[in-house]
Amino acid sequence: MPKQQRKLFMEIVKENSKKILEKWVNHFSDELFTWALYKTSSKETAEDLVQETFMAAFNKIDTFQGKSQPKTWLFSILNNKVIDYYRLSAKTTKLTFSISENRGYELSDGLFDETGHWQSNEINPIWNQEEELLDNPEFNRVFENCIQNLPQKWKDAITYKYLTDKKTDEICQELEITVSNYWQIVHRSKLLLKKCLETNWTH
Amino acid sequence: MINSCEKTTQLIDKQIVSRLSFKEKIQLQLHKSICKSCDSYENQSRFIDVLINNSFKSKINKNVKMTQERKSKIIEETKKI
Repeated sequence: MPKQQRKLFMEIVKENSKKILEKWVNHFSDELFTWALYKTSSKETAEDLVQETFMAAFNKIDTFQGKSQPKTWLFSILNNKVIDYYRLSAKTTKLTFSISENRGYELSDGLFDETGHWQSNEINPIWNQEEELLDNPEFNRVFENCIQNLPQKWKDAITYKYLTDKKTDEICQELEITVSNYWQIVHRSKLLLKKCLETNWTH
Repeated sequence: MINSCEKTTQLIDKQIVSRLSFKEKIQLQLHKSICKSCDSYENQSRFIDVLINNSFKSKINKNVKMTQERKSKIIEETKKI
């Protein structure tokens, strides 16, 4: 393509990208913001992260293949921005009580013996009081602490689907994990939550 | 062959997010019919799902929204690039 023509072509592409991005900002910022706010608990930080997400998206819009939905693509950019944000702030503050993933595997393996049977066959009374416990504030607080202890990545995996009732394959694309990795993480998390409740709820 | 409890709990959690094969479904039913702990785990797993959902919903503040000004600012910023 002659130089002049190529320049014109690039201008058109850039103008189109701007129009597309403007549409995306109007369509998707609220949802991106809700997740960023949940992850950072700060309105200002969440807004900044959403802005950075769109800037990054604009700068690499030519890599957007249209293989995934625009929303999915934007969420995967946002999730990386959140990770970067925590990586930077972790140097100055200790933010989380999360256990490591390795510890998570160890603890969940520990619920079973070598032959794969439950270490304890007893069914804890918690599981016969579900109706009452659901509305018990103290029980919900204990559960909240149990969630906070999970490895960071596992916490994301189990809460993510409730953001907008996302489908499994969208969740996996946005968190950049495979489907089998995803359900394994959900499974391990539930085992740990079960164990944590049985240990810490003694009423 | 009857699966172990460990394998059975994997299938219980897998069926909630993904699909089980015909063989896996049969294996799951067979094991649950003879194992009270795993039969109960299926209910526990669903209850934990409800708890996670409640926890997430209670922490999300739907009233805090991004302002229209901020959205316009983002659009402005991209125009500068």
